[in-house]
Amino acid sequence: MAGLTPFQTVGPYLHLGLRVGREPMTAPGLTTPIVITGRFLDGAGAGIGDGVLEFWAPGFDGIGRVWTEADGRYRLTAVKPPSSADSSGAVHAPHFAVRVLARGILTEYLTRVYFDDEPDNARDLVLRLVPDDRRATLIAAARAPSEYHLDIVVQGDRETVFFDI
Amino acid sequence: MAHGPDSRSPVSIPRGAPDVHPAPDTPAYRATALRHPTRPLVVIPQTLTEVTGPVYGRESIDPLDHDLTRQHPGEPAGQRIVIEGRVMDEGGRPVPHTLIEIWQANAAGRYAHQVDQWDAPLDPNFIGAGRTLTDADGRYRFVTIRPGAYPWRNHHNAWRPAHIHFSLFGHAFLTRLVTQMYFPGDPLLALDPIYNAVPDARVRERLVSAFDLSLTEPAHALGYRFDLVLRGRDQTPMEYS
Repeated sequence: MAGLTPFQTVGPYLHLGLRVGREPMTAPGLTTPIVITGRFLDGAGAGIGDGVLEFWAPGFDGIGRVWTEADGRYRLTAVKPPSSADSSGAVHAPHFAVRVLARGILTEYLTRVYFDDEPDNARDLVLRLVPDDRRATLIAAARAPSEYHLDIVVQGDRETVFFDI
Repeated sequence: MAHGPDSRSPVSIPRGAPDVHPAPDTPAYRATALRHPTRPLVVIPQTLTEVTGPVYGRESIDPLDHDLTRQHPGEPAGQRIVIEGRVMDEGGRPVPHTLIEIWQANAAGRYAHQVDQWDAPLDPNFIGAGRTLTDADGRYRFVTIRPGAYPWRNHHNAWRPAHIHFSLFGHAFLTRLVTQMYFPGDPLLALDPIYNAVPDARVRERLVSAFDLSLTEPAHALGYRFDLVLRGRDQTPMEYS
């Protein structure tokens, strides 16, 4: 066995190096354009202005990589991923996997973004594993046609659910 | 609309060895205080989402992207170095054709970034960003200059040891790694809260490159070897649970 290399923080100058990443995110056969906006917030409710969010769903042409603004705001343009069912019959509501990286984050935090206008959320394999009182932290709210909003909060009362996978 | 498994037959990603990565809450690195989760992580199974990942090919890379000394009209100041290494999974298998991105300070310890405002000089011939793909055997090569140490505001008289940031994707969402490469014999390593956030001293040393005379190019550049190990794949095709 080879020894796993440890994580280190991206630090504040991540914008120099983390440049590859297609936006808007596209995928063959998917045509519903969406925008996801929100804020990336620390334990005091302040915006994390030196972070990067990486979005992924199977079959997409690349990751969606967005740097946060000085006040922590982010904005992703993409097409909406589909619902799916796997060979065991489990249902997966439309979602992106999300990885968050920033100065002050020594590793990576993994979460997901779902959409509140999707009926399959109630049957989603992963959402059903999340405690009821925290599930809303993963579900982006439709604010306008094709426009969703979700804050990603790394610490505190509104803390986003992060996963151990 | 249903996905089938993709043509690369994704397999489950074994859990990485324990106690390798830094603790998210590391008080000596002050910025972690408000940036670490305090609620328990939720354990979920691996689905198609986590065992697949983006594929970046040659079209993502320019021919000079791996040589940070040749991206400008003139040569950057500083000690020229070559960095070579191999990217493997935990089983020791090479990770071929995967994207590596790097970024670093210049020889004086200054980043070409608007946030970095200390008074060390910028170098008009050095931006400090590169990328490459590993070859079929998981090997990679960069040419750059040795970065300088630089001060930061974490504590009194705090200096980061010379380092180069590395970002790798591997083959799946779960194989990603973002880390830093250090240089052997740097006295600042013992004082650095970020390096020392890796709990096990022997594991920490995996972040320190090795001087290698066989990589050193006569009358041109010093050579350093830096191998990276990503969370690995096993050989068992998975049911998407």
